[in-house]
Amino acid sequence: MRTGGDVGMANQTLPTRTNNTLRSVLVIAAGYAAVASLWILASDSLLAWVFRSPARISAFQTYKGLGYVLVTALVLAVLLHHQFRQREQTEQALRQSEERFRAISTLTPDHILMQDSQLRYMFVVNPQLGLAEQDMLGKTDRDLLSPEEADQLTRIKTQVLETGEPFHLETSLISQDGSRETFDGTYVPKVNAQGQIDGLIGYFRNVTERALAEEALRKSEERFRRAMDNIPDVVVIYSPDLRIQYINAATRRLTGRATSEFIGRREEEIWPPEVYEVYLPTLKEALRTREPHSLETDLELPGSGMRSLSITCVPLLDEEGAVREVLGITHDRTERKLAEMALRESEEKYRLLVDHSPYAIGVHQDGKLVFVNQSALSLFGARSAAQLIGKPVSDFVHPPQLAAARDRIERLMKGETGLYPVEDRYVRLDGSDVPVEVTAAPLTYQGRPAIQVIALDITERKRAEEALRRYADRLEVLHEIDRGIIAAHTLDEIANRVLPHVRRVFACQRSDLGLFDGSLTAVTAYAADYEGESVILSNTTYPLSPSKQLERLKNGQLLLVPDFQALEEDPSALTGLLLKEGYRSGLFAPLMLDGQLYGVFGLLAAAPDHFNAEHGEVAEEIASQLVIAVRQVQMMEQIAQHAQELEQRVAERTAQLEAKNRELEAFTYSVSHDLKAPLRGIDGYSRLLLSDYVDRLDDEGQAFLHNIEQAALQMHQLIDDLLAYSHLERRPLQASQVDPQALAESVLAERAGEIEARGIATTVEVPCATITADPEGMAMALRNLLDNALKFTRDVPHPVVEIGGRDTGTTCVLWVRDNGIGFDMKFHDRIFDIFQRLHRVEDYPGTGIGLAIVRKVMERIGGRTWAESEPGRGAAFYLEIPR
Amino acid sequence: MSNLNKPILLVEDNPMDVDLTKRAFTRSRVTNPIQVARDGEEALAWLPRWEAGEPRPAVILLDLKLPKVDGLEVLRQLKSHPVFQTIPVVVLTTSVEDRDVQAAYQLGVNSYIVKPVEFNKFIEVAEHVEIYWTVLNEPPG
Repeated sequence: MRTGGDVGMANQTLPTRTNNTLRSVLVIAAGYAAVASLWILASDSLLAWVFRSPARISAFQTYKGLGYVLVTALVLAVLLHHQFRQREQTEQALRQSEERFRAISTLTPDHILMQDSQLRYMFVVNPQLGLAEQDMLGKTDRDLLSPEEADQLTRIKTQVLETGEPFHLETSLISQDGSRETFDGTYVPKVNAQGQIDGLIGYFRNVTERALAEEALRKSEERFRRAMDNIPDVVVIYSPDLRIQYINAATRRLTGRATSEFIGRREEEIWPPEVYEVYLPTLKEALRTREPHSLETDLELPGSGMRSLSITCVPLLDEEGAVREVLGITHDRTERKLAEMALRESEEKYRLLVDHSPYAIGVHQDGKLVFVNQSALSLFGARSAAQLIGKPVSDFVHPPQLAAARDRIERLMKGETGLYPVEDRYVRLDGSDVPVEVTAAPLTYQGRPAIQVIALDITERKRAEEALRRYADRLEVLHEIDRGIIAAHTLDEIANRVLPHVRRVFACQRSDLGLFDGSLTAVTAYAADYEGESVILSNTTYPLSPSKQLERLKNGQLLLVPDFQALEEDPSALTGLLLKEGYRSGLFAPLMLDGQLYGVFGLLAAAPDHFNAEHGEVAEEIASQLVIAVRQVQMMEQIAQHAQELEQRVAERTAQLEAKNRELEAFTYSVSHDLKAPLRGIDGYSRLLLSDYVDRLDDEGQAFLHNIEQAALQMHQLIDDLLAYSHLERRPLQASQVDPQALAESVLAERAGEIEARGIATTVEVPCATITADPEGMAMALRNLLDNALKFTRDVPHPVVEIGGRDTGTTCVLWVRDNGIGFDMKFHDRIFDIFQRLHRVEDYPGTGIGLAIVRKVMERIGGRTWAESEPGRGAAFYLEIPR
Repeated sequence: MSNLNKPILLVEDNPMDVDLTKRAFTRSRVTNPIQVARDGEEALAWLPRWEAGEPRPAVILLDLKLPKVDGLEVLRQLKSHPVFQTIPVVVLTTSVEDRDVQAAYQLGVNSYIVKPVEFNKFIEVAEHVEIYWTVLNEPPG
């Protein structure tokens, strides 16, 4: 609500309307009282003057009273009548005035109201908000409006009443039907005749429509402004006299100036002549002709540099056709122009690239060529582009590939990737084929979809690939041949392994391996290969007669016969045979060994001139391999033969050895038997003598006999030992799992009697894993060591014998340790020799074979034995057994 | 007839061994009569004599190394004889060869004893043999 009122007047006291009424009443009362009093006084006096008798006075009192009443009534009537008439006049005047007022008010559209000092509506003209006058009269705003509105108005009205200053405002209120109405008007204090504020008058105009229109206008202006500011183009609105009324944000951006610099000004006032003279004429022209005019220009704008602009001036006309405003729209084409230039440049570059590319580049659209570059012309053998442009692409693709090519294009257009590059075959103008590598991509050509194809003539590449493949083939063949050679043990194998590959490389019908005899008068085909099968012709010897061809071979030279039929000399039997078998050309590589012609590697073809120089090279390589192969085979045969001979000899030797062994066995067997028998005799009779003839023998004689006995025993022991030793040799090695601990324990148990009898302290601790060894041999070795230990601890008061062991991972070490007399280590090696003894036989019996047996046992199982000792400090004997 | 009087057949070629054996038996108070065969042939010659009714020995002590007919051959013939195979045969020999032992047992020898060289031991052995085979052992019928 718009308000506008002066504030600052001092509050006035509220004037009362009751003053006037009181005055009138007092006047009447006073008048009445005066007259009444006068009458009373007068009447009394009159009566007294008229009538002397008091009796008469009293009789006239009643008449005096009546007369009083009459007179006072008359006075009252007169006074009242006067008052009433006055009042009536006033009322009438007022009514008249009211009527006049009403007459006027009915004509006015404005809303007029009058409120009393309590702000009750007393009078309403053109009640608004859907209210009727009757509804309003006597009510306050609070009764009629919403609390907020009522408060608002009441506050203002109260202020007006208090300050006595009018208040102008514009306010909007909600009417009964809910719509919003806007009022523009003033409240003025109503001053009564006494000059007191006794109420309020307000007169308002319903400006709802105007307000709505204003609102609409404002909104529209807002929209306009926003739209204008969002337009990237410069928008300037001029008044008819070409003063700027409005500029948008783009204008500020382009010029870098603020709005204030433009509004109200003319172009001439803002820009220097070199700027405005460019477009002002157009603007003026538009204004003059009342038609839109445009201008494309490049302009140097101070502060923004050179700009490429497109200016349009549009005059806006009112209803009469006069120019209301001129609209100037300026489009900054600078970026686009630059982009266009860049594009043109890039297109230029591209064009150059395409034109000079070594790749043939073409574009086809709707199945026809629309563009080709220089290289494409040479690819197709065209002299000018005209020969190619417009022709269907299918003309240029090798017919068998056409369907595939089309399919690819279709898929490419659908957006598929990974289709290219591919190898294809194109057709030149002259009808010849050319192999190409092709890449294609979709393209927009002159606005429509097209395909760009880049093709490279790969004829050379293909040729190189072919050569490489041939070379690789050749290598592979040679490789196969090598492998074949390594694996072949016989000539048959050579044929089967080598020749089939050979045939593949040369694409001929037969390959032969022939070996010459020493005098070169015959060749024996040891191996041959026919197409489709491998056949061995062994020992088919063909006689040879000397010839130029043979001479060549003899000199180690390759022989190439383009046509057997064309041989100058009379064809030899061999040649005739070959011809008969259907071979026309041949290639022969000599197999030379130590400079001599050893054999020949031959290739035969049904067609004449089948073989070329390259074949020759390969053939020579193969020939050299074959020489090796054949040689190898022969050597192997020799080796085999030698091996056989060797084996035979070995067998013979072995047989001999076995025979010898058996002899030896028989010998030792009989020796032991036969030797023991007389021993028995010696012992027996000497004992008999000792027992039966003891009384007839003196001490000496007895001693003699005793010695004889001893000798016999010794001999027995010796024989036994010898037997055992030789037995050891002859016996085959048994290898079985032996538990060292168990073995030690069992060997010890064998001597349990003696150990117990002599009170020998023994320990057996062999924490070793099972070994693989000869159990009997091991037992024998341990037994011998134990016997030695027992023997050489004979004179020790507390004999201790310890059997121990230890695993080393690769071996098992056992030992027998005693605390006997020990020995000097300088005899260490000797004691292991057969029959070697360190002690006198009467001190310690024994034949000296025990340790030799131990050593022999260990040797046989691949182990070893050694000892450690100190004289007087016992000895330890070790056995090392491999796992 | 009790074993005590049965003869003991000693098949031994070595005269000293024969003598010593006899003496060993004597010393160990073996009372059985000792019959001696000096070689394999002589040993086998007893077969017909037994068939003829001569008393069979309580035990045959057989040496293996014999001239003319080998000990093992004698053993075979003895043990394959339908009647006299039951006569206990003890091989008394120097050979301790495994294969001799095996062969003997295969042929059915009743016992295999190795002749000790020491005479004392020999006497012991003789004693044992005598006691075992002639006293303890139940003879076949």
